[in-house]
Amino acid sequence: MKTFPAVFAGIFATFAIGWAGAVMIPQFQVGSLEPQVDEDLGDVYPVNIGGIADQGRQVYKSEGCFYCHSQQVRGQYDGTDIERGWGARRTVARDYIYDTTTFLGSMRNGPDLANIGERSKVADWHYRHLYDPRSVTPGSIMPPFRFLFIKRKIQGQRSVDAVNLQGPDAPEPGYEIVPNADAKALVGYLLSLDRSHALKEAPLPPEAKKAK
Amino acid sequence: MSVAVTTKPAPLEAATVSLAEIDQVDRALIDASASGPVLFFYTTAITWLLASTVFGLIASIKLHQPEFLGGWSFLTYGRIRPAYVDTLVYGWACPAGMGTLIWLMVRLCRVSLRRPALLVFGNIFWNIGVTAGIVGILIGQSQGHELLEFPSYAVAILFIAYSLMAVWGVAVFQSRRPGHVYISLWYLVGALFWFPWLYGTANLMLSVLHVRGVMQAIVTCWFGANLIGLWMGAIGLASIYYFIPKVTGRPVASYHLATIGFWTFALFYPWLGSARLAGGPVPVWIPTLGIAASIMTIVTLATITVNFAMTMRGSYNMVYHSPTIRFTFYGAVAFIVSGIIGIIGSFRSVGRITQFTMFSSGELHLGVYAFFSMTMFGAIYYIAPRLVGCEWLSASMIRMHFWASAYGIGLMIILLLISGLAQGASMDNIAQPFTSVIDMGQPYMRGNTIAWVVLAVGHAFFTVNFLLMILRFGKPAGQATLFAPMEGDGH
Amino acid sequence: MNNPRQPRQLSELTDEVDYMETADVMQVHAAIRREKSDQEEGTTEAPIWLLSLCGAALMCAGFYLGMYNGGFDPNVFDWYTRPLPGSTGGQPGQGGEAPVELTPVMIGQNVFKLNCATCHQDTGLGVPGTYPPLAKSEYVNGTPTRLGMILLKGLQGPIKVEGNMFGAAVMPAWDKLSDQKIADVLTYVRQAWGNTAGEITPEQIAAARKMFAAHPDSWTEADLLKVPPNATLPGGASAAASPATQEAKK
Repeated sequence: MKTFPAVFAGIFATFAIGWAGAVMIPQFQVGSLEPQVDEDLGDVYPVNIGGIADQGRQVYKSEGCFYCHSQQVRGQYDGTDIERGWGARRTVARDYIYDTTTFLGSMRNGPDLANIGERSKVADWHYRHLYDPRSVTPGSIMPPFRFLFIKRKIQGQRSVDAVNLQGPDAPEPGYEIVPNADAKALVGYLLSLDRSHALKEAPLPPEAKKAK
Repeated sequence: MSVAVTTKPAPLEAATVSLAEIDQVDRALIDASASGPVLFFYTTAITWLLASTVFGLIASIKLHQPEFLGGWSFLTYGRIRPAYVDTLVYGWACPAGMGTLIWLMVRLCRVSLRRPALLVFGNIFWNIGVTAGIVGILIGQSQGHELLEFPSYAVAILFIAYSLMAVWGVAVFQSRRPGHVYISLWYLVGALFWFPWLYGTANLMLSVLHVRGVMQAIVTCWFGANLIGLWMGAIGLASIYYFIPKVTGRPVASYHLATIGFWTFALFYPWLGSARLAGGPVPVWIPTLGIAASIMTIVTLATITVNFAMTMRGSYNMVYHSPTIRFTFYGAVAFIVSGIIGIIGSFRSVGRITQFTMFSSGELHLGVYAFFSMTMFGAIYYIAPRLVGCEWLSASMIRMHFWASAYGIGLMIILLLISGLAQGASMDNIAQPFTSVIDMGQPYMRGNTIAWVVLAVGHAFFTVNFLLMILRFGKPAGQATLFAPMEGDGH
Repeated sequence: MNNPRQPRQLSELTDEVDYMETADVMQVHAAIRREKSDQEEGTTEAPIWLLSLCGAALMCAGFYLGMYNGGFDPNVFDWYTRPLPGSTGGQPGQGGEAPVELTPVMIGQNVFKLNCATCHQDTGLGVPGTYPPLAKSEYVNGTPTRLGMILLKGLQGPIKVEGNMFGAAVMPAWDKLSDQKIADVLTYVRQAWGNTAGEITPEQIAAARKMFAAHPDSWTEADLLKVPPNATLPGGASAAASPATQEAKK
């Protein structure tokens, strides 16, 4: 290839083929998926949850939670995710269509969160975990998110929001720890994460053995 | 070799100036013209290298001491880790690569560097963009995709900056001296061309078109693999193809192999990104294509390996003398190792184990540091003296830099890869609770921090040496700064 | 040693050559002088084994692509063709997971999770004082007629289940669900959490729907207790499908 225009055409073409095949064709296939609608039940999955869960997604993004937590459940021949109880079934493309930012994640320094809202429905546990991860999970390497909480004097009665901290984390008498708006949004988002609804392309497999 | 010439240039017919000497004057003029912009790129790049070392060290410590600096929101692991990676890639690697690209282009096109303003302003904007981007990440405005975290305002600035540089690149290439186009130039033109397509498309699809769901992951993986594998690969290979023949004095062994290597590189490397999504919520054919392309890259690797081996045959002892050869050779070997690990890691049976572990971080560091950065170090050690006019002050500082970087990154990569395999195997065993998977990784993370300290030492030596260089505290230009004196033709 | 900050005089670097260059050029010239010149690439031929390697790689890559492409179908996410362990079998698809036949229990569990679990809980234990338990409940394990009544029209007012009183919340009517779904969720509930009652068929629910079509409101406990404990709905799975002898009318 002595003529440079030919070389340049080659550079263009090879990259264009790669772009078309690796990006544009997938976009045609999975770029405009719609939720699955069940007429009888009026059941739509997935649902576009706005509000606090959407705000929570912003917090998840801003704190970089996805650098340690994935949100994808692999199939039974691709990993032990289902057996570890991280999901009833593998996740598929349709599960994420309403995730404005899709946090598939590529690292597990912490457990997968795709179905955390289904596993753990208690907000207080999440608040305690965010405040001091090692108080609820010994050996955890999750960073503390104390800056998402406010410490304030108890006005009259302890507020409903106050986090039930024990031991060395508990504030001194007369004070309480309350989650700030970001923390509430984040926990609201986490509690909403549930991709266990069956889909045509991803039916629920027969009950798999759960790990401890 | 001296020629008897009087103070006035002799009339042509009487001149006995050799072609080689015209060539030398040419190169001298070219280097003089390139001096400002290239050194500017290198200086800013090295500053960011220091910043990335600090960020990387903090991130590494947080992996085994999560309470370290835990009260600061802008230092939380989820912010400092992307700040580290982006500083390393966009702050250090891209400008260092551009600086080398500029010098290689003017040398290979055999034209002086004209319109330096384009490059200078390009770099100024680039640095503003990177600063804005890093600050944006640290204050929590990340866009949420790996290597594409910079907020939109930073992306826009980077794009403008790159456009200026690309315009310059096209102009230089168009005005090149007619004649044979050296293999490095193909890679460099490719790199200039690929980056705007990559960066533009990825950001367009993610931030403007808001592609839905898993498409975001597909675009992100495509971009990341292409930026590091294709773009950095191109500049690194261009550098290796230039400097090994240049310093050893032996030409690249085979034009045919170089051609095959280039075309298989351009054809297959763009597909490699999707292999990372194996097992993920994407249609199965997408990662399969990535893995198939990964298998094909064995051709590229074999071709390049054979070509380099044949080129360097008999000259391997240059590694003991020339800093450039030592760093560049390390980079070349790392390229091959990185390719092999990439192929092995892409298979589903291996990917099942290594996914979601530090293995991918090991692959990242193999590509960005062990291959690309070491090659850039080699290039800088060759180029800077020619731009400044004096030689490196201290060969021992170069030596310290090399050993610290070589051992530091070697240790880090080995730790990351092995911990990835170990943790992955443990995660694959449902008898092991997840907490024990994390505990198993802790010693490796502590080792990683030690590797960072070693790297930091190396970078410190490099920075000091470079600072002295640009302040012209160097040895006189007569003799290259080498590890050990070389006989025969000079460096 | 001279002060390195001063630009070098060319004469210091070279012998007697003076090309009348600028100071900048003089700076760099010394290094250039000893530099080796650029050379064109050599012409060694590509070795033949490389061609074989190319061919072998192409075959491997092609084979891999052929095996694991899932038909390039956007709905195929799994590369394995053999059925999952423990699944009810089903024909292996081309690179895709065999769509497992959904049993009534599986469908029912889904319906339950989506609609019922919020109140009655995934454990079927309900919430004391508010939502009655379904596990070991006498109503769940009892006559299908009562269950049909509750699901189709709803229930309000106090009710005693397993010896405890409930009544703070209202059970809504689920008549918008299809007969199939109601039948399946009841089937599921009747075999979950230690319950041992038989399945309920969609025909039974259809019959119940017709039976209670005229009834305007939700039931109370008294209405339910009026239905004899051995009442059946027509269309049941068992052969003894006798028409209901008594019908609760209000």
